[in-house]
Amino acid sequence: MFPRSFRAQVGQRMAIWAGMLGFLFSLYATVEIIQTVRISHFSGQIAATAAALKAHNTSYNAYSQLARGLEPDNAGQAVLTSLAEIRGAAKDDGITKASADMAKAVTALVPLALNHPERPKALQELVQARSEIEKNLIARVTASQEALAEMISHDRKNKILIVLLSMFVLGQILLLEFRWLVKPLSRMAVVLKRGRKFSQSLANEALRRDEVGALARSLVNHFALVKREEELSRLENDKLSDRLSRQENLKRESAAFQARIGEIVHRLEEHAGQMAVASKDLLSISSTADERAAASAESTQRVSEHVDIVASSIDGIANTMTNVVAETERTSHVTASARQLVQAANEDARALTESARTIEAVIALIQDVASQTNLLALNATIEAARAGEAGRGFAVVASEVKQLATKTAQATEEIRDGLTGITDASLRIAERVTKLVGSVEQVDSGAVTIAASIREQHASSQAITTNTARTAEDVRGLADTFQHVAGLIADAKRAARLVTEVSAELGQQSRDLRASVDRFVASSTEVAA
Amino acid sequence: MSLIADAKAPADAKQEAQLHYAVRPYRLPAKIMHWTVASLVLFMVASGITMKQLGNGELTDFIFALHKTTGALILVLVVGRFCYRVLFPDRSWKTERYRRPFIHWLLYGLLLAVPLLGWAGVSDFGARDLLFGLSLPAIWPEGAGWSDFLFESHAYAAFGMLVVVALHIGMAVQDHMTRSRWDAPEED
Repeated sequence: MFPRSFRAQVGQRMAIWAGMLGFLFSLYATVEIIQTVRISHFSGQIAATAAALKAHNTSYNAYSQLARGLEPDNAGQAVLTSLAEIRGAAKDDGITKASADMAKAVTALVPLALNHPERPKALQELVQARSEIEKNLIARVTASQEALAEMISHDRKNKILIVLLSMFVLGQILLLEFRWLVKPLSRMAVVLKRGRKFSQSLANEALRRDEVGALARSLVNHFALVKREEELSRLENDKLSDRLSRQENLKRESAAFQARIGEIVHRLEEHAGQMAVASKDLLSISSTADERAAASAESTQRVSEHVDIVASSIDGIANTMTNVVAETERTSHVTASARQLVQAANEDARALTESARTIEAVIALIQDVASQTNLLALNATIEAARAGEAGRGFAVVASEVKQLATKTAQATEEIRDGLTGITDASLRIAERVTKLVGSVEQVDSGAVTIAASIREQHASSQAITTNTARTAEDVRGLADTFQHVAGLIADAKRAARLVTEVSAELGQQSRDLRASVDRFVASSTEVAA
Repeated sequence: MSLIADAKAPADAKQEAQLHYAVRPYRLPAKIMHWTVASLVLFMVASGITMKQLGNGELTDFIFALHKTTGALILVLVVGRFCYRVLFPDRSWKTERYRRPFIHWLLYGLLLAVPLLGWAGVSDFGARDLLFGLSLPAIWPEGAGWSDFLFESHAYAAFGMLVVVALHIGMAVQDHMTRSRWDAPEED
């Protein structure tokens, strides 16, 4: 029903209200104007009637004089004048007619004498005409009064109704504008003041098409923007707190890592210290072992030298014995006839046999010693195999070997004694043989026996020689083993020194590691902070 | 909700107005009848009050004749509007449930009752003549003595109708301002 341009904006609404109130006001104004015009009309009418009445009343003296017949001409003239006045004031048909009747009656009455027979009739007509005029005038007053009363009543009703309607419209305007303008604005003010985000009333108002609607829309817009911004900032906060918690975690983890690394480094340091101590111990042990090994090597060297000497001397003896055998064989061959000397030589040979027996015992002793040395050598190799704790064992073996060496020395002394006895006897034999050149034949049989025994002896001495050589070799091997052990110990020493160095380096490195980890953690915490 | 969409994408004001605030689609005959009857009613009020205020006279007689003729025209138009509304109801009146236009029916009733009261009054009074030599048929026995009461009732009913008209204007403006989104396209 409204034109398209009508958007119920405040100005347009005001125009509508102004139109409504203006219509009512113009109605009221029309009523008032009509009322004024009519009242002035009525007042003129009433004034005219009053003037007529006044003329009518003022003519009463003249009228009574005329009726009584006193100065009839003057009185008649006065009555006629008043009648003209009445006619002039109240332009009414009835009054005009009545005044005309009365004027006729007056003119009829004036010339008549007091005792004239026509006079009562004329007088009656005059009285009737005057009463007629009076009646008409009164009717006129009454009519005016009634019209005025009706008009006033209508006017009052109209005005009351118009005023009531205007009041109703005004009240409605106030109520509606309060609902449409004041209430939404105050509500929006409250919403803005308290910062409430959204309300149904605001949503409803945003649907409106007037200024309040535009305001509500912009407010809703604003709140939507604020909400979005709040959401954004909440997201930012969340992100920030997440990052903080992550940093916290990182810090905690790095602290745990630091502690763990510190523990490891501490343990490493401890181990390095222990290792250093152990390597030092090892070093000292190996140095003592080295010393002892050197000493034993020296003594075995000496033993081997002695054995060599023994062996060479036994070799010499063997050579000598082979020479002796050859001599005796030659003697037996040459001096087969020196049997007598052989008898003496037999004695010597017996002595020689005894000497040889002692030599045999000595040889047995040497054999014993050799076997024991062999055993010891075996023990020594076993001990050498046990490497580390070998020092003491080696010392013992060394002493044993030393004893053996002395025993061997003694035995060789005895052998030498025996051999000097033998050489003495052989010398005597040789003297007796030279004495008994002739009687070689006699000696021959004894010589053969001697030769045989010497051959046996030779074989035994050969055995001794080989045994001694073997012993020498064994002893040499033992010395070699000692050398080897000494080398091993040197190696161990070097290794121990290396271990010490390495452990020292390890300690240094673990300290460096701790320092660098501390630095890293400090920098990472700084970064995290 | 459409509000949020509006807030997010502030559309062109003109387009927004076309989208959301289309004028209620009354048909053209209904509009013509509405505004004709409205202006005639205003004239009737003015003429009635003036007539009464003027009292008896020739001008009053002329205005009275005009008043009666206009009243007859209004009666015809109101009956026509009523029939048009019944015969061609607006689609929205069936679908929109929030609004029961009882004030419209009240207005129709008063717009029929007030002329009928006046007609009965003039029938009783015996002044059924209109302008242009026309004359109203009598719907009330002439000289039954009820003319004053009928005229008074006519006048008071007319003022009551003015009150209803004021309410109608207020509600129409309210409706137009807040709820006239009939042509709005379906949102969400």
